[in-house]
Amino acid sequence: MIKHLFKLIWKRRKSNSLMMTEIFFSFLILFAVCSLGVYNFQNYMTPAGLETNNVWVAFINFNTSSDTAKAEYKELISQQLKRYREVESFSYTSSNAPFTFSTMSNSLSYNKKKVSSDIVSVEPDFPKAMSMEITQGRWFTKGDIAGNFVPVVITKHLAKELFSTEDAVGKIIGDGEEAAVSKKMKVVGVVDYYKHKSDFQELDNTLFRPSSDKWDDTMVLKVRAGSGAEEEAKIVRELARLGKDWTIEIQQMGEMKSNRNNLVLVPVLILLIICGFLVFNVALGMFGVLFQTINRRKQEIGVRRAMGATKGAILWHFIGETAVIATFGLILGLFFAIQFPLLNVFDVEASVYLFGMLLAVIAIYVLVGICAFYPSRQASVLQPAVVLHEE
Amino acid sequence: MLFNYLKITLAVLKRRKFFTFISLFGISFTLTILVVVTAFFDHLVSAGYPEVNRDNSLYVWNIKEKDTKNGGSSSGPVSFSFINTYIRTLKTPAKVAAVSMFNTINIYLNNHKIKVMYRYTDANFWEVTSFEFLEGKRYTAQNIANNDYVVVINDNVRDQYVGKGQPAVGKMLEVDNVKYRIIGVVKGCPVTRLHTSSDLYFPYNTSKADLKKTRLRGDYMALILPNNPNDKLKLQEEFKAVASKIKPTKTDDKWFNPDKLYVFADTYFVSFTRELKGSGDGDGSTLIISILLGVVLLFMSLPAINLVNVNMSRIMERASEIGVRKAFGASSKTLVMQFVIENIILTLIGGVIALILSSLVIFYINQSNLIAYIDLSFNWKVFSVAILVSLIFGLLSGVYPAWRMSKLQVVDALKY
Repeated sequence: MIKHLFKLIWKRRKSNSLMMTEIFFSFLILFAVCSLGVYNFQNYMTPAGLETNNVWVAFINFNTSSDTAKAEYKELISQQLKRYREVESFSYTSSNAPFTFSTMSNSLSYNKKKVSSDIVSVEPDFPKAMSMEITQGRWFTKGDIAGNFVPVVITKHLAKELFSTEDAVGKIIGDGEEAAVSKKMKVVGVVDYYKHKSDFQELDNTLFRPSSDKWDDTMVLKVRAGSGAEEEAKIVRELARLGKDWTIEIQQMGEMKSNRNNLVLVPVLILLIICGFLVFNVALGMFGVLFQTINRRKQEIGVRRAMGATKGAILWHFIGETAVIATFGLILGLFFAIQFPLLNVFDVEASVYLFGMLLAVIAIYVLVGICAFYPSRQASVLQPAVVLHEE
Repeated sequence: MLFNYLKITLAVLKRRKFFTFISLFGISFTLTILVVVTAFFDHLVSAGYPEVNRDNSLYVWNIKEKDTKNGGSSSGPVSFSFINTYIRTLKTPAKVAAVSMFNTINIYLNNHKIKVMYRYTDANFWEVTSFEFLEGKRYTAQNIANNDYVVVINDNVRDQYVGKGQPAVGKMLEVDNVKYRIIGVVKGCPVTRLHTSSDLYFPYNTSKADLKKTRLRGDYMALILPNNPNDKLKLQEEFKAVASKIKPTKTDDKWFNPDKLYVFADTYFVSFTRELKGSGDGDGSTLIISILLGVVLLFMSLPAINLVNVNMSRIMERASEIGVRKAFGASSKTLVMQFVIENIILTLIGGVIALILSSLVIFYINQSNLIAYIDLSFNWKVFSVAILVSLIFGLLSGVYPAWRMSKLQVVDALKY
């Protein structure tokens, strides 16, 4: 039966070519949207590895170029912050603190393997301020910093890329650029997750290293629940009083995170709306065209019925025909879509694309099924006597 | 005769309501999306308040230093001294304004905070732009020479900080423990005017950063407005000659020691394409435009195929009609004429619907305060091109098969 349908459509491929092209394009659009959706959803489902509630980020600018002065000022601010009951813990970080727009990355090497990774300089209190969990080893302490190696903590993703299955803790990494000039790094701990760009970030490479005293003038602060603008104003005012040229800005990390999330979400939503309308448009068109074709083939239906085909057979025959047309379009579309995982476009896991394809194929069949059902039912209730009488 | 055609057309459109709906939906919806998207694009690149002279202006804001040996590069805004040294000294007569990149800061006011953008500018900034002052006035070179701590705010900050409709000029505004006297209030502009939008404008003398440093890179952009609009090319050439003599910054860093320097005076749009896709001396504008056009074509292709598909099957349905009319002596020409008129009317109705829809959407976006002060405008150019394209598709897919059919023998047409 199916073979027969294929033969039928193949013989009339010219008259159905427009339908096939439409299916082909719709599939590609759906494939893109589904892949994007799957990719973002998968990333969204992984734990963040950090808490943003009651976390503030302070951007401090000392407006001075002298390094010694900077170190001094930073110490002043630390001393001042320890006096506040509202501030539970705080840590200076490099300017690429979570959910800021700045990034710093570098290549790391281990056994001739080079891997690129985000590098964040933080103080020992950083995991406390960000409520991070260390899964292997420990976080570095003040005492570590004076040792022969620079103690670092890395994400699981980076550990896997560098050392594959081996245990990461205790390994020595030569940093591509600094190995020659400074101390090598020693891994002292591993964290599972650290999503610091948005909730839709894929698991990525991050390396935490002890903060050096001159550059890092961004700060994360964990504050007591319920601290609001009042406390914020007080702290900013009192800190700014310590130095007359300083500018200090405090932002809520929760807000920063939702900003970053919106940057991902808004384009995806706009795309979804546009694609939804496109596909709806195509569905309407298909519906109309099917109506037309079935109208034109009334006699054929009459003959079939007269020869003993049941209503159900007619219904399924027409739905089947449309499904076969869709299949031809899909085969062409899949040929293009399969290139994405094969060529590893955008460096995304193949499973995302495959899942996207699967969803798109299902969506197309459902769409075609819905569009074909009503006209086919109309066809199946035709009375042979009436139809053939028209001649 | 035309009136007759009209009557026939409307009768036909009414006869198959569903088909009419499909075609109309396709046309009007596609046009609406296209018009709204291009309105956004237009808003981003065309002149608008307060940059009404954007088309005549040149922008210098990005300087790129490249290390051709190690392959590294670094880029960013130019410094204040760069503008003074290399741009203000250009011979071609022009106004040069220096404005810093925007930064954000919080103003605290009885326990709630207002997050504001601020910029430092020179006095020329107000000459080059056309801000509307609701009250007070701009700061002048004299204010800067006196080292006055003054600030120009926009109406949004005034409403929150001083109160709606209250006079703000002469009041004090405290930022970071420093008090500034409010000297003027301007009508705000949308953040999409990346070089001029801000909530607070400070004269550069109040900046805490050291502006005397002679580094090339800094935090400033230059807006150049030639006195004579025809001097734009001349200015670009002159600046190019100046820029070719600038030496890249010497670093003692063995990993990054730049030996090539790129800095251009570009028109607004090109200054961005260069940033996105330019390489070396290429400005990337053609590439960006082709990408955008490609995306638009891809987006249009699906509704176009759909329109063609629906049209084709409608013509099939009307084969007998054509046959009968031919049998009664209608010529091919009359038949084709009828289908042409039908298609034009259908497209125009779709166009009118799109016009209404997109005006509504644009009105809603302008009203919704999604982006403060946004001022999208309806783009007639794009709208007419889109209508034309849908007409062409309509004619190709509706009229051509009809014409083919009208060439058939009556008997065959009737048999269809």
